[in-house]
Amino acid sequence: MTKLRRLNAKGIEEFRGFLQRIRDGEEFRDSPAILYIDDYSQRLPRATEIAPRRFASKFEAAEYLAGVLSDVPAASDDVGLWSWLALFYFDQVSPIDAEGKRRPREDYHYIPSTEGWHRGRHLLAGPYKLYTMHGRNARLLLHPPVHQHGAFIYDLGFRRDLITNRGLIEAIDLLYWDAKRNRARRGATTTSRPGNLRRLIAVIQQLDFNYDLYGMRAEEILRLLPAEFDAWRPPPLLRASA
Amino acid sequence: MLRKLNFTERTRMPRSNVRVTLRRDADGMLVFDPRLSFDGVAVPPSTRVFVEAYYRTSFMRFDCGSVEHFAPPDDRRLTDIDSTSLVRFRVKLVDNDEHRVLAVAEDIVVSEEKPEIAGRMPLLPVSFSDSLGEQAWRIAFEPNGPVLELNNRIDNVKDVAKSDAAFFALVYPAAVRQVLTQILLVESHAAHAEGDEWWNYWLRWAARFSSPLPNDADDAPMWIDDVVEAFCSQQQPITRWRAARSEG
Repeated sequence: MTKLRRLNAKGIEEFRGFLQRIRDGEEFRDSPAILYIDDYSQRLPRATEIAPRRFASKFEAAEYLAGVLSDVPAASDDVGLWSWLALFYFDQVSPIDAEGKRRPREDYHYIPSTEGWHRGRHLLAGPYKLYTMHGRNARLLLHPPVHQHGAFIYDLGFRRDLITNRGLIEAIDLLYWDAKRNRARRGATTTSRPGNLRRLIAVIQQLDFNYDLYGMRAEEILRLLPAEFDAWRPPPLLRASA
Repeated sequence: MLRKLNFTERTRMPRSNVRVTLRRDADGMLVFDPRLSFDGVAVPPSTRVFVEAYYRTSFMRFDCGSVEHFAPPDDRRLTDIDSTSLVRFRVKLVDNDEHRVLAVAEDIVVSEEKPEIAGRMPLLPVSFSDSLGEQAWRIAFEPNGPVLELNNRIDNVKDVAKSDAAFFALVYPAAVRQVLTQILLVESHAAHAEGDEWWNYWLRWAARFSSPLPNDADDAPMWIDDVVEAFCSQQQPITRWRAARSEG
């Protein structure tokens, strides 16, 4: 176990340099010193333990981190904390690819950005926020491995009014989660398939003109969907005409 | 004249019924204070009121009670809105039982510098941004219209934007040219169409400088040149710049 820390401004700059050096071909060395040296990072005021674990998915990582951070105030907005965590789990947020190379992506995947569409794209803070907002219903969004975003985040993540809508995210879970296989139902993101995720987003945007979807429960949203979505509906919610 | 059909069954809440003030709290966080009037908006008293704040992809929503008991929440900090000095608001009046949107006031643009706007839509809102890198300024075309983004890394950029004659001379004519080019040549909007979209307002404004409006895309570049030239003749940026230099 390790005591949780947060990078300070100097540590974050060093982390940026660290990312660039790896992009330039330098070898990644596990547990770089800036994780633990007071010049670059400090312990949280209240000692919090964290373990070096392997996560099968972003959901698993978010669930674990939500437990670890349950007593850390304003954790979701703490740039230094999430930068430290990304560095602590760097082997998972930037794993070695099929060619044996580690290729870090843009900095905001590891150091949270406070602006623009890439806000929320941090590979650990983003899932943590979604998990704390939606709980188990975030499992479709967080199904991919830690270093990937996945189709659901790509399609929904650009619209904060959609991704923060609890009823809608639960409706998406009811439509597209395959409980037997513990993953998205086959064809959910296939754009040629009727009732796929992108079609759902298009329909939701039309319904948004007339309905206050943000204030609706999942069942209420599902009832508004046209027949195109019948094949995806969970059995108790099949339309009477179906 | 084109007529717009309303398929939504919802009514429009006039922007003039909405006043929003932006301020910063002790921690430097943007906070909004709404004042709404429901005069002339035909909805039942029990209609729920929601204020939604948004900027680009960021979004927050605030439950403000009902028409008869308008009660904004105590916590009105815009914590999830992208760090900017510009925020857009939408007021939604919602049926309590069926969740139908009964009336809406869209696209209330409020900036920190002009903290209270009612019934008026600025043609070119200004936003101060941390994400421009080495660019001094840029026009961002958003669904609701263009925004002039200025780089926060420039010292005293807010004062520069307000009163620096060189800044005005170098930025605004170019910005006008870029926006009109976007409207007529990139997005190919019809110059003579009536309407209340952002480009309609821009074209009506530009027509004050050069009439008639262009008939087609071939005429547009020359017309845009004429507008920018007339805009500069009216504003006299070079004369003002020279005067400022001689005073300095």
